[in-house]
Amino acid sequence: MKSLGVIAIILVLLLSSCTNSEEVDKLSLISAVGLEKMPDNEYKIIIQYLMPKKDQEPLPITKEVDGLSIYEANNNLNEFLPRKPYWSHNFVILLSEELAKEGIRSQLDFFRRNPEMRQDTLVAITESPRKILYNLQKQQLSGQTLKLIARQASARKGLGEVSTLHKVYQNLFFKKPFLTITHIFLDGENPRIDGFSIFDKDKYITTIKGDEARGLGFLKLKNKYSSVTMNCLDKENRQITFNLTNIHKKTNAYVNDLGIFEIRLSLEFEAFLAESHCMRNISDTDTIKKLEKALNKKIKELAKKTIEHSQQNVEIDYFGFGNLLYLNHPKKWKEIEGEYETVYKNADIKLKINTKIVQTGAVN
Amino acid sequence: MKIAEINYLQLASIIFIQILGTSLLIIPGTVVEVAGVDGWISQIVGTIMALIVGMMVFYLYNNFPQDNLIIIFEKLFGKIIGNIFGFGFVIYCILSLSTVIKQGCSITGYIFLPETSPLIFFIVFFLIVVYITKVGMNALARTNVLVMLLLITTFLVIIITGVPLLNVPLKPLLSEGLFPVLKGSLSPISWMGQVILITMIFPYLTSGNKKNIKTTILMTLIVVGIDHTLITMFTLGILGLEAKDLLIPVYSVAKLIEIDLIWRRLDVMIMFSWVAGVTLKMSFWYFCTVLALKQLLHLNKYEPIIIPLAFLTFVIAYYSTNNTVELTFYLGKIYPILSLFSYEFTIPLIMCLTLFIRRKRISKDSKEFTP
Amino acid sequence: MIIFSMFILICIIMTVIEIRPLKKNDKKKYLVVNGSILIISFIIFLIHEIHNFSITNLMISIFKPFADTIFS
Repeated sequence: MKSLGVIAIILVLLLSSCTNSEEVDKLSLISAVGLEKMPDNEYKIIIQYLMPKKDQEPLPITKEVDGLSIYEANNNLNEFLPRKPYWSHNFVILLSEELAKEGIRSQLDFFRRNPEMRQDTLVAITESPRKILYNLQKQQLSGQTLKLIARQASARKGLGEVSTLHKVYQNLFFKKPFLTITHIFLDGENPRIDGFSIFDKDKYITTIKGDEARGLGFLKLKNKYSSVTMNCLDKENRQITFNLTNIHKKTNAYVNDLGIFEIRLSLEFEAFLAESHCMRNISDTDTIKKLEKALNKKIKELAKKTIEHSQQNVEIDYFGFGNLLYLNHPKKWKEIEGEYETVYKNADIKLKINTKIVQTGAVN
Repeated sequence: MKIAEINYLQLASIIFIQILGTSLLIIPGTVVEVAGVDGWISQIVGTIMALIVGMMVFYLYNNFPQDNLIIIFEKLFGKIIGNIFGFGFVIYCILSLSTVIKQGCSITGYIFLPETSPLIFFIVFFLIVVYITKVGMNALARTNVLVMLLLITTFLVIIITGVPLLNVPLKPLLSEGLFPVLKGSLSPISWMGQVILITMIFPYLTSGNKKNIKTTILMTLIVVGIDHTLITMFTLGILGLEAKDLLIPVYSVAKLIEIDLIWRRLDVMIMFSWVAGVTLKMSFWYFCTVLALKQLLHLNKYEPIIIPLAFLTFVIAYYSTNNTVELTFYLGKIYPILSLFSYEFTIPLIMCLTLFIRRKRISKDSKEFTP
Repeated sequence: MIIFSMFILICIIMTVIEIRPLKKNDKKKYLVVNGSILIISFIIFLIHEIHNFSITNLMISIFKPFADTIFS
């Protein structure tokens, strides 16, 4: 009896095989996907999949299909794909601005429901995902490039956090969502990250670029490094550039007795001098002090500009002050929840910025 | 026949796997769904309540160190009522076990092998459970120690590597009042109340001195409680209220962890500990069921009834719920009520009270436990 | 269905193998116990096939009012 069992175990181990195995060469690895809206409620999905080549980098190929839902479109893919689409290695989800206006939560559902999908995929808004993906194909770049660009822009350029699928959903589940998503635009032939798209709950409103986007970077402070360029103290037409590292952030939000929403922000930066076109000698301690003051002013200016934009132009709180109020004073939040838009419009936001220049580089 | 001996470490590991085998993955989800951000407070409340159950278990052990639950029933309530309680216990065991099996199979299938037929999992688990039960308590206890180490490692790795991902504050505290927290604590209590099952293996604790057994039971419950609290805190801290939206939040947390190139795809570790923990949990529950039925029917050996009873449980499990929505509803909301009003809280309480009142008049039958 | 019948067949065979070497008196007892357990499981299986009924669903329908009042 016992030897029979042993033989059975050996047979099970040796004679087993897979019934529905998935070999790598039977899959098409999807590396980027773009979603667009078609007139009659249909989706157009544009996918980029990688075609492995011998002794070469895999070749990105772009195709497009339609479907009433994304999953249906995914199934329609097999009308021309010889292999099974495999989503686990997807790097980027590009949403068109038009689609995002209808709310992104429902559009992203497919990517969350599928247990194969990874949650650190980059979500980005762009005018036309189609153009971007065809351009990538032309340059033989995969979707990973976009994700790496977003990561670099976040780390070095100070353009805030990379908006991954997980981060987007985490934000949508806050009491007062303050979603900002990376925006990609096509600069000639090159896809380029130029700012944030801002959302009211999950509906796309507009995109902020340039200085305003930088200001948001400062206020959100999830990024490590960013740089600031300002005029020299003595000469207006020459510039001096600092690299900034955030070391401390303190925020406080409350509603005072008069019903005015008050926000106090204090930020501390460490700056090091990266480039100077100024003539004056900066080894002088007084000059350093003056530079620090000018730097404070400059950062404040940038941040103020973004805050003004948020309060006056779009009237949407994309900094998360409302959420901050809910976290610390849930009762006060309940009082103002209904009329938050007007309360935020008249909110009193005070900034306190403290910069220390810690290094001036190898040159004196 | 000589009774197998269980030492303190093995006892601790049995309680540990008993509870954490399935709860590690499921409990943050069910609790957060009810209690929201205060889910971790629910876990603390649940742990405190579970300690009361632990105390009751010890109180029974203190008075009947040589007997197990079925014999205690008979000694406390007489033959007829005792037998009714005994058969009720078998039914309760089969029902709970079938939920454990359903969880084990459907979650393994859902996450790890979505395209495999669920019947395969049932058959494989069936064979393993039958084998382990046949081998006996001693081997089961020793395997538990090994798997406990695996579970602890998984837990620690997730906690430590999860620290950089923490970014959602666990605020506001008790914004909805204390009531949701208490409601949320029902599910942890029902999980940790399963410690009642070790009343079935009292006779195996031959080497114990009573004080050590007490500390073992209570300390293990506290450790499990800390585990529950920490894992809930981390799920909430990493996912925020997004955890409400996910079927198995801990699994999503493990998927997010990515520290350099070394610590990636920790979901594999989750799979390891899940499958091992669930198998052992099933086996222990099944062992207790078989033992209880054997004692109630006055059989000499329990080996011959292993296969038919296992078949019954697996059939009940296979045809229990149709989809994961029903399963999570059953686990989070029905099972706690069902178990707390029966063998996890109410009946042990009745037993302890009866014992307290008729301490002097307990029948000193020479009925003995035989393995 | 085919796998299920195979499964039940294997179970019966294994049980028979298990019981065979026992004494005559015990054999009868085990045969009754095991037979009734297998019959119960077969009844559960049949009820599920005909009425799509399961014990968990029964539990859910019994306890749902309680659960709704407690967890609402």
